Amino acid sequence: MTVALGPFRFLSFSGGIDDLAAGKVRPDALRDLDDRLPQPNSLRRAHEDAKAAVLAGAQLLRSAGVAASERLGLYVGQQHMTFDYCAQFVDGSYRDGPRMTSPMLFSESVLNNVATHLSLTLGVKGVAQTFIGTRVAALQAVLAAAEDVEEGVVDAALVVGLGVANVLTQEAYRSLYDPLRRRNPPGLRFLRGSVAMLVRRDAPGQPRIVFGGVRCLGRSPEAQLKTLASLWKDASVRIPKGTRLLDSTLCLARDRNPDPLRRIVPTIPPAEGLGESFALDPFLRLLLDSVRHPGDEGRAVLCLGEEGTASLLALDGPPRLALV
Amino acid sequence: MIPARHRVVVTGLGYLTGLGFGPEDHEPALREGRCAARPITRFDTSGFRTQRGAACDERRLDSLLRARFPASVLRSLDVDTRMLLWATAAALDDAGIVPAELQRPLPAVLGTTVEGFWQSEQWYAEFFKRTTIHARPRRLLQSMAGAQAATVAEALGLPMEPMAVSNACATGISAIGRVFRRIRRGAADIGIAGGYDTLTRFVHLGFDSLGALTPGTCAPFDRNRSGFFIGDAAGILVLESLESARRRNAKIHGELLGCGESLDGYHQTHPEPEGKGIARAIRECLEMAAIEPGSVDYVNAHGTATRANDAAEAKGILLALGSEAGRSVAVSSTKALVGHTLGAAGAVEQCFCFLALERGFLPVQAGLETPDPDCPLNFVRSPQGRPKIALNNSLGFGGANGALLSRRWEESP
Repeated sequence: MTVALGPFRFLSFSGGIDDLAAGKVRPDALRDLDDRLPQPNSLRRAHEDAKAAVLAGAQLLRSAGVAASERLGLYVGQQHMTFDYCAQFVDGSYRDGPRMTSPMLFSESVLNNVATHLSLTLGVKGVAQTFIGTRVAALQAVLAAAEDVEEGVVDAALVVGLGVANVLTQEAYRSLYDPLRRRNPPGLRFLRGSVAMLVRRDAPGQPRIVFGGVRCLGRSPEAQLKTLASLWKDASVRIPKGTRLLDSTLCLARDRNPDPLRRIVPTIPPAEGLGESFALDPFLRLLLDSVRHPGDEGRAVLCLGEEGTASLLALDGPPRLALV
Repeated sequence: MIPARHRVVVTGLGYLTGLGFGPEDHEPALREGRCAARPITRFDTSGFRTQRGAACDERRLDSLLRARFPASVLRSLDVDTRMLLWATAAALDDAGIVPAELQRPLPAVLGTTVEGFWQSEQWYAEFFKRTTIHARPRRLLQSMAGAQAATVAEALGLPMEPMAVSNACATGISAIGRVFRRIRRGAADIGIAGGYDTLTRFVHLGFDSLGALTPGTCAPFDRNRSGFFIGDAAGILVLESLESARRRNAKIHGELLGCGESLDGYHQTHPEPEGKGIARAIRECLEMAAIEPGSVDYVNAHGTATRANDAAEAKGILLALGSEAGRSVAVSSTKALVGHTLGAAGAVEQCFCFLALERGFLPVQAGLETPDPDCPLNFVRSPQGRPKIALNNSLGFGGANGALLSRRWEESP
């Protein structure tokens, strides 16, 4: 690929990248989210995950001087939909009856809802695509954006990755990975937030994508090993020596199944337990590493989704945060 | 847009809807205008405004799958994954592709608007109706679109470069467009693309609450239209460069010429009323294909039979093709027959286009009695016709628009 990735704008409900890199958690980091939104009225019904995504996108476009237009594409990657509204919608139908449910909750529940809010608020009218359903979703969004910029489908792409979690996802993942401790579950942490980034042909000072790939050969442990081997075989010849290769396997699964990645390729494990952030995690790893190890060497992140899809993104330099 | 390096042909089609499985079930229904809607039995519809939908024949689906896959593979698969598995296997068989012989993973862009929501729905029901201790969490993992692709990859032994795309009701076209462009520019030789979605309580309830579902007949572009019904569907296409198809001596169903996508940037659920967004997608499609508007013979319209969609789409068609070509081109919406199949719509409707191009007929516009004067188009009343070039439109929530242009296969068009 011959496109550049960056700069990045990261927002989370636990603090900024500098906070997280310093081991601090600031639960009030987005306390004034509504006041900072570009069009708060049009977003009043939106979920706060969608609001954070819009704010990150708006701040990034403004700081990079990129105008929203018919030639700007929009690519969103998230693990799953906005479960809060979806759950309220389903719950309401059982509790109050199908005719009493609010259609607003349905339209806020659809999978491309975040892309819709981004498009309507920022005025983006080019291609919009949402990638859903795996931990690698935001990496897939970057790969799709890079393809479209290379081919000229759009001149530039705004990519937004989300970490979405609520009580339902917490319950589901907790009970899946700790099935025997459901009455007295361990304290699992989840990190919610958004990262916005730009993909362009020319972006001086930003790293270029030297490899991007996604693979799936199946769900079984054996298939996952083959998937990683297939991906690494293609990636290893393209990644410059000295590149820092970061690990973005599912935090929750890591204690139970630490081997697959390192049996194929040595990766740098995350140093701390920031909590699970799903599709946001690969980019959180990249940004944290660039703060803690401010060298110019390349960065790559290898992500193995819980359903067996693996993805690898490699840059020829460190990712750079936007000056907001 | 970089110039095309390769012609892109379609060598495999696998699709199922409430009307049946593959071309032999669909051709007579599309010619006759037979509707698949019937009372919903998959979930309890008491208290809903509407009770009809077009579920697939699950018993026949299971029988077809059991003939090919061992019980261990099929155990615990939900209807979404079973439909996707059948359609993918059928498309690969049709194309003569043996997964074990593939030298490289196949690009696979699979679209869905609600993932495997059947599983999520069961989980919610368990979560809300009982206690969390009884909700089976594995359901949520199985509901993820990536999980379904992984299941299909494993069942077929098919190495994939998967992407699970969601772009509301334009999803199917987005998925096909991505693989089409990749092959067109020479980044891949073969790929699979399409969409799948099921009739679930969640989507039925959602569109019911919006007042978009019809209590009667789905009648796109009719003056008295009252909405659509939801249908099951999965549609998978094998796309291939012409050179690759020739090397493999593959049978060619037709050629994909162009793809266009756009955003209205207008409203969360309503289309832009003047049809400017869909017109932009159609124009982009025609430009990519270097085809004059007057050369289009058939339009498979999105045609949801809602007041806002049909009027906006008709304006968009006239805007993009011009008044003369727009008023004369044959138009029909096959949603009147199979229902709105959401993330699968663009894909199965593209399969219908190839069926019509290949076998020389026009899918009739069912349900239409009194055309709406706001939709001054030439609707298909008889299947007689031999279209050469077909346009396929999709419009979705969030103002997502997509268009695909395809041509009957001819060595030298």
